[in-house]
Amino acid sequence: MNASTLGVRRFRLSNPRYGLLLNIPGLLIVLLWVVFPALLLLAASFLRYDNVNPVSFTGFGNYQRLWNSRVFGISVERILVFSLGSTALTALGGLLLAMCLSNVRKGGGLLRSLMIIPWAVPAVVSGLIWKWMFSPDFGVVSDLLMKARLIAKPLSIYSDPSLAMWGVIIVDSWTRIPFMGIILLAALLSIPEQIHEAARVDGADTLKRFFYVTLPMIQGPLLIGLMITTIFSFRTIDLIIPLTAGGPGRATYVIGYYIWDQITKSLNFGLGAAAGVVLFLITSLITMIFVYLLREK
Amino acid sequence: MKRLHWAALVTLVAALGLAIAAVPTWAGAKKSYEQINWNKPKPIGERIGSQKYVLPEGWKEAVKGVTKIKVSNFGALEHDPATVQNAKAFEELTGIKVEVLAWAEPPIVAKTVSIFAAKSAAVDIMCYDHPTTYMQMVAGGWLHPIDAIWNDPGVWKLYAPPTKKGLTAPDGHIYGSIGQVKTMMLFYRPSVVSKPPATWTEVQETAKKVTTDKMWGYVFSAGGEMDIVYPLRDMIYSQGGRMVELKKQRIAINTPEGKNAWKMLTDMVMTDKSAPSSVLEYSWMAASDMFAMGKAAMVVTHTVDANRFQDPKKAPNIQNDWAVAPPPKWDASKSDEFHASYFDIDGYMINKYISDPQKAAAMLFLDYMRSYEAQYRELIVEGNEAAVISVYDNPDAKKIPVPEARKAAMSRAVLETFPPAGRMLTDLIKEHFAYAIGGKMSPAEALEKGQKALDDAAVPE
Repeated sequence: MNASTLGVRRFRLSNPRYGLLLNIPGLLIVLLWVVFPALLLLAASFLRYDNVNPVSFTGFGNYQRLWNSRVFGISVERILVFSLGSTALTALGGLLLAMCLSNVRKGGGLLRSLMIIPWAVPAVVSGLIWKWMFSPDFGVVSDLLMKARLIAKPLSIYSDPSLAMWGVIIVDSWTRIPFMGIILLAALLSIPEQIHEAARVDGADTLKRFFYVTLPMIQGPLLIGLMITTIFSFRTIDLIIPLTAGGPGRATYVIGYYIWDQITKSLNFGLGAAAGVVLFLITSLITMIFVYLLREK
Repeated sequence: MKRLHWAALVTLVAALGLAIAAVPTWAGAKKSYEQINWNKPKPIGERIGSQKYVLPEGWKEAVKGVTKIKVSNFGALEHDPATVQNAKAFEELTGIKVEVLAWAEPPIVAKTVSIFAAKSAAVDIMCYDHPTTYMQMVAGGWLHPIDAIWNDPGVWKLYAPPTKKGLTAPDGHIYGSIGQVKTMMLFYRPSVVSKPPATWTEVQETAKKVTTDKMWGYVFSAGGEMDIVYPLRDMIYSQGGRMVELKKQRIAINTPEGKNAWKMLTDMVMTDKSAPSSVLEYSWMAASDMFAMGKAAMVVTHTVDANRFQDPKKAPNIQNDWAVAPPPKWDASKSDEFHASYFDIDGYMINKYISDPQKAAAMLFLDYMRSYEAQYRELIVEGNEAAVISVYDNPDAKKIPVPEARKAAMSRAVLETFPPAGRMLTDLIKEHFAYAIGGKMSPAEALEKGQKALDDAAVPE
């Protein structure tokens, strides 16, 4: 006599029904915290909701205002520049860091722990620290460079409209390089040594090994790192607020800042929501491109 | 069956009895906050204007059941000792605990708006910056009207002349009250500036003369939200001009006064080189920081900064070498009434989504905070200005730096209330000022384009 003959079903976690059941809490959280707010955002984007006039349906009115808005146009251009610059510098820095660390035998663990620090520091704190370091009036960087007679007058990176964006890109990359470095380090360490050896035997020098062996083999993780870095860069304002407050002269005024201003300064929730939808569409498009590239890979 | 009939009858009678008992509520019985008689035992002006605050009649019944009120505050409480002491004094008077919420300044408007948008009763009283956010908050329809606590013609005589007009919203109601007030004065280094400039033209000339490679002649902030508006506004007021055209709800900077002010500020940076180009990255405290570090000979800033300047730990380089003068008038052709700066109210407003007894307690708190007693602490303990002008005549006021000049400055200060989205509109001024200093446009072109941007963005009439 056994369970089957008694007609009792055996409890198996591997049963797909239970898998579905166990997913319900997670799905509920996604619905409540992601899907529902996203739908609310979409709905609000079609409303005239400016906290001055009664709330009313305005169709594509907000989108039309965005299209005609000089300031929104600036913010789109600035976010593209920022994202491109930050992602490129992060990729380069992360790759360099990973390659250096992959060759470290002793103390590698300690170095890897230390390299996380910029990533672990809150963005607002990073922004303040860098702003103070580069202050032309009391910053340590200008002071040291002037004492070393490398510059004649203090640097004014964050008050110069032509340099401010570079200054922000450098700081943003500094916070993201550890993350990229970890991904690429794992990828580098997963390349079998025999492949490098074989390439060496075939006469490939360091540069050729890098371009024809290393880079192709880490393409997947590199693309994933680039995708994540790009998406994160599109939503950055926590670093920009303490560094430059979007200035000088809108030099670092990105879409996230535009949305923040619409919600907290203009109290125009409808217009802010529309800008949020546009940002969502842009990041979705970029994500789809990366996913396509990954699939191709 | 008989028992069922009796049960039904008893139920019907009980229901009717309850309904009749509730009639007073239906018939519009007084709400809790309407039970307070603000003009008893004395008219409001006398009650709050005397050195000892007197509670109004009916307050106990009105706040029955209220044990605590929550009040938001600009920044950390360690910088607001008067607020802390006033809250404690209110607790001792009424038994109602006051929980002051220290909110960091950059996101304070975002937090305030979040609470209102969610129709939350989480916070009873919100602090707000009057010139730039009052109209916005009124327009949002989130505030509880507090006309009752201002319902005495005598009360307005306690405060600077612009107060009544400034607090009255376009619909004729009052939604805000006074917490802390500030105005600006000229701080200077006597070792460098032997005679304090009385006019802005003198400030410009003096700054040029005293600028060295280690010290700027004059500094101001133009990097953070609203920052460039402070010096611009003061210069406009010192000429008798105004920034806000009330009827059209329009900010105007290309007036003759605005053009003069714009030219002076850009000249100081670009032509005279007496102010640094790094003003574009200075937030509102950075200019004062520069003065405190001994890197600037003059700055126009809030009088409360005197607390910092006299602290040897915070301003070691200027100890015994700083002094205060009235805010400058434009030039020698102007009379002394043009020694004018802006009148800043950090006010309080009541969340309309809280319960009626909480509203009563909140109104009582606002009543207290604008009183002589509370404003005395603001002046003497914290170093802000006193909204109640007669506080300056208190013997203790003689201990603060230049009390007569500060009293005069408060009496002449100008209060303008910006239209809705005021902070967004002033960002356009900041943007175009940076275009001028950064060389993207000439100062004149930047001013005209800035005005056009303001007009395009203005809320329709």
